[in-house]
Amino acid sequence: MLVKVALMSLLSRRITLGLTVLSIAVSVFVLLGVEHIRKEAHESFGRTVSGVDLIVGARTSPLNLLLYSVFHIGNATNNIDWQSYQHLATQHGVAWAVPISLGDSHRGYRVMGTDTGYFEHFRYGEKLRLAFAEGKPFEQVFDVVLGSEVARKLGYSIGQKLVLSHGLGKTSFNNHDDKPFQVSGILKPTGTPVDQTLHVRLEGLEAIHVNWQNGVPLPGRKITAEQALQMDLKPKSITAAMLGLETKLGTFKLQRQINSFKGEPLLTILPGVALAELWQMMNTMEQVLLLISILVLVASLLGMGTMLLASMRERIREMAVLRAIGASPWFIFLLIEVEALLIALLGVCVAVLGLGLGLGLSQEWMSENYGLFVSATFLRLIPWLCSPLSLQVFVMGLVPALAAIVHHSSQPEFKPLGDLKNGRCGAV
Amino acid sequence: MVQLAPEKRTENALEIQNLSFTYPGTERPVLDIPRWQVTRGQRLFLQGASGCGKSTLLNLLAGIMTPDKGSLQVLGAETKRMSGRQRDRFRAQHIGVVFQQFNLINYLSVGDNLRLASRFGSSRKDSLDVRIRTLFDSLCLPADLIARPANSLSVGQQQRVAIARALVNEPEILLVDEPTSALDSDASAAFMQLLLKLCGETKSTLVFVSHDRSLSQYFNERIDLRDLNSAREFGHAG
Repeated sequence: MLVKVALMSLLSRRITLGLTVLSIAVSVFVLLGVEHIRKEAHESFGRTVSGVDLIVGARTSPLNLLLYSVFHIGNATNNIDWQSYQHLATQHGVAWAVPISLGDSHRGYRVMGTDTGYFEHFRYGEKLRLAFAEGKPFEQVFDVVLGSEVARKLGYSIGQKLVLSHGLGKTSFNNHDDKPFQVSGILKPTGTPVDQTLHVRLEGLEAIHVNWQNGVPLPGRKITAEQALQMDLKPKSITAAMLGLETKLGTFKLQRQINSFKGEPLLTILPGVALAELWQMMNTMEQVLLLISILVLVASLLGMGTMLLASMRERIREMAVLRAIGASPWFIFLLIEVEALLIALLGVCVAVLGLGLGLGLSQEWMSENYGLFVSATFLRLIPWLCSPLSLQVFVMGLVPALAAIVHHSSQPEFKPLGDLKNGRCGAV
Repeated sequence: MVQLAPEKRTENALEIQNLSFTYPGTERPVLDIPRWQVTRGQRLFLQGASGCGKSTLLNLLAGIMTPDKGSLQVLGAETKRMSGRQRDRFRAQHIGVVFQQFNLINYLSVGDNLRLASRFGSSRKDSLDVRIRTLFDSLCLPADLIARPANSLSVGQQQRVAIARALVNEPEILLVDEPTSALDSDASAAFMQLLLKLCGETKSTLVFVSHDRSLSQYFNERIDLRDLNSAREFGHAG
């Protein structure tokens, strides 16, 4: 009955209720959104690479190397010479080495040149191997293996031909249309940037660039795909390399060794360490964001308190009637508190629906543009939110609820007629 | 534990001895009643102009406030000795109240207003709907009003529903405060007749408070609050 009375009371003030619910919904939306995306970003980045002990690239900042080699965010500053790579791969303690070559794209998706070792050694999440949904790894020079999303979004299937573009833009004027690639395999979804990558052999990348120089095709010099295959397609340089070690013990020693490599300036990073550095940098920002969203929530709850308090004045007669039919002050106190809780509950519901919808709609956009894989399952955050929220709502409800009682004890039920007419309380 | 159930043997519905009430922060008492009693089943017209302590007396009788000094027994129970909670319960079960206006909670339906009152009075639930129907019949209210929102009723209808609400728990005492002040004379006459008829049927004690002397024609027993109250008249308004 109490809840019913509270609900009916709120419904009789639909417009104020609607606005208050909306303001709480927006602030809960912000708070949940910030916290959810923060957690998801950590998880999403954390599961992108595992089982890779060292990443080697041209000298740049560790973060930059990590971002472009694993997350495909940003660009490499320089390449590594093929000779240097071969030197690295044969170092003592190196179990395996996988070269990576970036720089081309296909309709906005990045193309990564590598070798078959990639499918064997690369791990993501809980040390998971890349698995094929269809087909097999590339064998021929002009074979390509698609990430699951590339295949799904562009509708490619095994055996289809596609043309790579030079550079990373979504539309490129320089297409390698004289040398099409054929889809040899499609990977299973991983929830990592692998899904958005096309994998080709290093030799394939070399072949489409044989008649190019300094990033543009040489005029008047056409070489067909067949001719290219006859040429020496040994790569001259790569963007980065992933290394797996025989034992973890040698990691730091090898890192020092490579960093002081005489041939050319190189940088070696431990993916986990670089990622930790990234989080450290982001930490302050995250805290500030969280603080701001908490403050926004507090502000909207204060607004709700104000709304309820303001309504108390016009509800004096209602309280009088309740007291007259035997309601205790405790009942009136609870009535106001329940109203506050109902408002907050409605606000949370609206926010949860909105966030679910928003995440559902922006999932693809976030994964395509930021390599961020955010699931729409943020419901585990609800308990995290609800205990402090309900406490806060209770505290905010205290003011109007106590006001109702205190005001009431000084304004008894039977009142002179003149006083009654001033208040807009009952039927008109 | 104070005896909550009214003692059946007392003849008096209300009994006052040397009662005095002063509002906090004021010096003079608003009410000072040496002796007054209302017997069970009595129907009394209590005349009082505004400013003579009328509202204060009603608040005391309803147990919303308690006297500073002296004794006030309602159905044989001393209100001062009950806890706040007990007084609220006592009021819900034994006292029906009709205000001059705004008797109903306007966002609830008429039926829910009555059901809420019945809930506070913890009266029998099984026959509640029947009781409401009977009350509505006696008050010449159409049954389809029960489902309507309280604020869609005319003032006359609201005041009659207020009687139904006050009587839904079959209370021994009915306190009525200027119930016709918002009604025109025809509606007022109809209201008075229905009220008295119902009080006769339920054998409730009726204390009818009004400044309007013309309404006293409906009552056999009248008393002027100024005769009762020996406190000076310039106390707290009401």
